[in-house]
Amino acid sequence: MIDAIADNPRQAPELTIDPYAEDVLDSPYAMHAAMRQAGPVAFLPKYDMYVMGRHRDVHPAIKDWNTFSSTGGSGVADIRKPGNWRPASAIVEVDPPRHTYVRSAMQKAMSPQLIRSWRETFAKEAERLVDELLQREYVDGVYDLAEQYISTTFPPALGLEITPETRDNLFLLGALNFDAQGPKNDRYEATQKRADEIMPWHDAMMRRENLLPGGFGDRLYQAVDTGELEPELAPLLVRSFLRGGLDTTSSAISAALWYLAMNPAQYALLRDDPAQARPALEEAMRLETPIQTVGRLTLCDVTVDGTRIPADRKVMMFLASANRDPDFWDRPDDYDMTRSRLGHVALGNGIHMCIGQMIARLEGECILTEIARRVSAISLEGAPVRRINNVLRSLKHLPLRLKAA
Amino acid sequence: MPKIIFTDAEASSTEVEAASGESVMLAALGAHVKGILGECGGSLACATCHVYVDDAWTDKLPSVSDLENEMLDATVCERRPNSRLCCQIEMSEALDGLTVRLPAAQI
Repeated sequence: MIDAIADNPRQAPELTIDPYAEDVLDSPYAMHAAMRQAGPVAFLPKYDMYVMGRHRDVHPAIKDWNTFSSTGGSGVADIRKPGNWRPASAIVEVDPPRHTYVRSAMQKAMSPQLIRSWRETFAKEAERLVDELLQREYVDGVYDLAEQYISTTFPPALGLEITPETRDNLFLLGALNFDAQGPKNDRYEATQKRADEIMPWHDAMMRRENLLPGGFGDRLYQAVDTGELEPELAPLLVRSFLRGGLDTTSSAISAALWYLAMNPAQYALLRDDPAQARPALEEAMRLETPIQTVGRLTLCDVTVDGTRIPADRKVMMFLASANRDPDFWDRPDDYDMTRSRLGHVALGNGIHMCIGQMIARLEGECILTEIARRVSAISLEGAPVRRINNVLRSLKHLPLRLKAA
Repeated sequence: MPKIIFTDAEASSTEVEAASGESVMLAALGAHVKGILGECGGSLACATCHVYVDDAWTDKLPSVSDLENEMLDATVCERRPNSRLCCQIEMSEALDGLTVRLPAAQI
């Protein structure tokens, strides 16, 4: 509950937890519980930011752009300050009315009709990939399956030709995007250094002449032609597509495979009723929450459930914490595709809610449906290994055995 | 609590009680009405809460925003003059008895 004015609001307690420490990123759940326990709002002096992790507070707050602005940046850094080391996102880090204009244009370029027209292609690719993987039986659910599938479906939908080299580049860009949303720590510096080497390729690939006709990217440039979109925005929004749409989706798919492998009874539900594919993905999104945190900036003094946050301060919203808050979710850590997932915040909420969610769901639906059709059992053949990133939660290795039906 | 009547493609009807201030979409999901998906949770990003509003009610609803208007072109089933995305219809006592028809599909 958010009150604009409250009598005698409490001060936010200070916490010494470090959400960006390696062991915490590997397993953040105890940290989330401590955060929720401390109150509706806490303060992390190390990062000079307030934090919120309770569902009842995060869910409405991320929607309330009049109070919690995106213009301070969606990461730890306050992007308005001089010396800011990364450019603002043209769509994520703006408020209405500017945001409304940009989002409208981008939404038009990736309309649900266009996304639906990709269904046949996505389904065919799922068929081809699963067929190939069943020849091998033992596969890595991340590299061989989720990332492979996404890298053959998403870039072509954008209009980018993919080679093995470009696949690695794209995932590196995603890693950079999300490491850069964390603090400017060693982890980020290491990723930036690796990414520096591919910058010429990166700059070239957003340009119109390198995008195939009919893809989302081309449609953005067409919107420039008709005067619906400012010219400078087209390459930036192409970049936004790429950064936002690749490793987030593959993370959700990998997570779904992991949860299905660990829960054979749930996999059986999917086998019995392939219409569960979308719920199966959505529940994995809730539990994994690929984008763990999003930043906001208070535009005024605000009191959240009795605790005060001063104006002009960064507030980090812990989406992953809200998604497992036991005050909201029954059996929060259980993978259950039959539960109502209404209220999960893995895709955000409100005007900034993930613009690519319909593409992500279609990709997830196609690959999980095909797997359910062809694979009688998925089993975990070794301990999964995580990829550690400041903001993006994802698996790096997921040893699986796929038994042909 | 104001009521909403959903009639599906097979002409069977479900009556749902909504809270004032709640969207028709959320009321539908809360009551497990088959035929409303609301995949984006009401953010005008998915066009899966499409309804055909009965003529008696079309003029009583809040007007269509530019973004809703664009998203209405993205519905799976044919867009008609009485098409709305019901995440944008906020229930109130004045809309007690609101009657809508569900399209054959949302995705």
